[in-house]
Amino acid sequence: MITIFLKVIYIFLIVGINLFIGSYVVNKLAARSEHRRGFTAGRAGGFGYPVLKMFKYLEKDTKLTIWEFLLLFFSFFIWAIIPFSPWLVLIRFDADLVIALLFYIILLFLFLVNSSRSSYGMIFQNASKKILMTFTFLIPVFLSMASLILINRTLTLKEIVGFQYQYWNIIYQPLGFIVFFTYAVVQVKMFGLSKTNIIFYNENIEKEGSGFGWLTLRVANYIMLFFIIVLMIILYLAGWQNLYFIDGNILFGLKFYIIFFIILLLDRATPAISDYRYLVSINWKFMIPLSAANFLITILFFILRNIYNLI
Amino acid sequence: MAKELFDGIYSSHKVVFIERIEKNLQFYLREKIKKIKKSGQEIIVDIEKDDLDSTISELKNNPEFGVEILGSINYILSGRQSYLLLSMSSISNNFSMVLKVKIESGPENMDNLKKEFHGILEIIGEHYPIAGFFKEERSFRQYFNDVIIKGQVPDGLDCFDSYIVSGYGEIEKIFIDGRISAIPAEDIFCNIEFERLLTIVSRLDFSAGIFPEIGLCLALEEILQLKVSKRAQLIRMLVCELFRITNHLYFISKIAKIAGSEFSFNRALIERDRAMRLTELITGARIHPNFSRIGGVRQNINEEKILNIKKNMKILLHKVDNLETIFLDNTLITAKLKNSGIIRKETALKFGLSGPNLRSCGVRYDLRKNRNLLLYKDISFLVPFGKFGDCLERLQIRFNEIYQSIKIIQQITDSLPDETIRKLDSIENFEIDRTEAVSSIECPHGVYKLFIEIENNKILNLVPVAPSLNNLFCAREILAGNNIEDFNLILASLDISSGEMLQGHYL
Repeated sequence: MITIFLKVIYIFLIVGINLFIGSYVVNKLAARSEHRRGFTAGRAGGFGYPVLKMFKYLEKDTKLTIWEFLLLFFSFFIWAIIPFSPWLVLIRFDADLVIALLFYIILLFLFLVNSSRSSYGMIFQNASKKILMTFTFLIPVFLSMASLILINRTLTLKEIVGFQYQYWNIIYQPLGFIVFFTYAVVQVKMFGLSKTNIIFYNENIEKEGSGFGWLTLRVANYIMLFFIIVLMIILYLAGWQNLYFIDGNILFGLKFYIIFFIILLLDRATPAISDYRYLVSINWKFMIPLSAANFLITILFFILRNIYNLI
Repeated sequence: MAKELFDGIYSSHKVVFIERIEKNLQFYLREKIKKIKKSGQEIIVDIEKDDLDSTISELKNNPEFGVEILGSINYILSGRQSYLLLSMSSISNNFSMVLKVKIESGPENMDNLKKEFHGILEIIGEHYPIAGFFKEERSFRQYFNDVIIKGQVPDGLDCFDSYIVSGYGEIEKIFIDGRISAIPAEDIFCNIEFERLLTIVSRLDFSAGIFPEIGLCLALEEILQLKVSKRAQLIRMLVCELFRITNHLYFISKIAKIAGSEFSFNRALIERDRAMRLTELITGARIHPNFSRIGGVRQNINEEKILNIKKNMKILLHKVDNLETIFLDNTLITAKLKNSGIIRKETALKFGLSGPNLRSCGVRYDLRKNRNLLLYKDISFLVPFGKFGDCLERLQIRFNEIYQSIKIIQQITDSLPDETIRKLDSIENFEIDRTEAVSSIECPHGVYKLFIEIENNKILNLVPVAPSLNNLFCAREILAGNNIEDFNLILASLDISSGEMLQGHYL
């Protein structure tokens, strides 16, 4: 019991600290790229500002709608399945990759539904358009995951990491990694990390007194990005495997921040995409063909090696 | 002797050209023209309402005139007599004129006046379709009500409401109501003295305030037959080009903001600030310069200031070049800008576009080259012009114009002669009868024309004919068929200045 309690505290601490650092870094980087100063309140470069901002939102309004409550719940519950290390995982499944993806889809769905709300009710046309557009981006992600599963022959995240003790999956599946990485960048572009994107603009955002609800949206936004990065590290970059003398857990954090920084820099270097046609064209003209080619190559390889024993 | 020749003792070839047009007008339309007057390089022609149809037809169809463009239609009240001013220009024959049509009804009976005005618009509409846009359209709210876009945040898009009929995310029909922020120019500028007018006329164009001032000074200098010293003219050109750079950088920042490139947006504003500091150094103000005076300029510039300008121009050239690389070497942005809001050459001429918007369609027309404007004939520079007329082309032309402006400024600072910058005579010593004048100047948005009527040092009528209204009319045509997402981008790429929306256009 105490072990589970400790694990919960550890997971909350990891997520909380990363949320704090993430929001600070996002704001500072956005400000510097726009020749602004960014957080300046207090000493030490406004390091306490994310906390202040959290209290500012809480002070405004503490009401939550059911969607926002579910968003908050799932954005923390999703970490019960993802292992940060072989030990630090709350619920163990045989097919935890599938369960994790299911949770991610739920989170995505909640986010989209919440962003289609207005004070007069749900705008279904808006919601269906957003859901259609976003969920088509999952097709290439599923395809590249399927090719990965074909190679590793397991659905357990822990075993996938174990498989990479010698060679990382990125060496076997470079195209799959590119698709995954593109998806992470596109997700940041779609949901807007440093500023609100027009496509996913909630009609209720600028309403007076949007406090806690807005905070949950922000948290869910960060959590979704963190989730994709962690999944990318576990699937392709060997998770918590040690590299020579470097400890695996430290390496995990290092990989996480390197990818996080690269995604943020890419987000700031490219302009905001306000045209959904362009987003859709990225998916259908780049990601889906690439992942389909990757999948076909992997199947071909699989058949030649495992059925005909040619390789 | 050579210097006097050079300074324009003898009329330049452009002036001779205008005189030829004047003679042709007198020859072809001698029975219809009541009065013809040459004002600098512009012609004012008085006609009766009954002769309007045949006159316009002659002007449009006769290859000696070839008037393709009807810029604007304005109503003025001169004394107790009402007139309509038609601002027309010909690109093929390189001249522009103001047609002054006398109408019977007066403001005391508004219904009759409106009826007559609409009758005249129909006559003009047969030759120039743009005349239809000056009609009052009350019923737009009934028909254009799918999407209503109220005044937007970016500067220039805040002065009109748009009513759109849309289908599947595309604009099918659009009505733009520019009336909501129209400035009542007549009430502000009429019946005041020259000196007071000069200090406030820059409000007509707050993004490039020097141009209305210089336009007014040129008109008054033409009436008084004043010759301005070379140094004063060069200083005027210097300030003009600085304002052109400022305006174009502001334009670029607006496009960057809408395209979503925050980085370029901030870079453009920082460089705009650099150019604004220079204008502040010379004129003492950033937005409303109040710098030009009749027969000269208000302040001289010394060696120190010239050195400062030279130093900053080098930095500006480097920084703007850098900005262009950052902004336009990005496929995400060029994909957005390319092939959106295409204006064809015929459409541009039909709606009377001018300035960079016209040049982006492939028409090489710049008053700085095509007229004897200030001393631009002494300076070596190019007029950049495009081919496709889309948003990208309009942006690239602005970048190229900034480089040319920097080139002009560098030449001016290298060869500024030592001369007096103002006339020592007071304006009160002149006695001016009732007269009228027109002057036009190439402002960053297009051709800015000012018609003034004066008596005893007081302004009776001041009619600014600004390019922004034509841009708005053109937007109604080109926006149809585009996505609603591109609405802001296309409108911002036309460089609309809200200060130029005037009530005089609408009766």
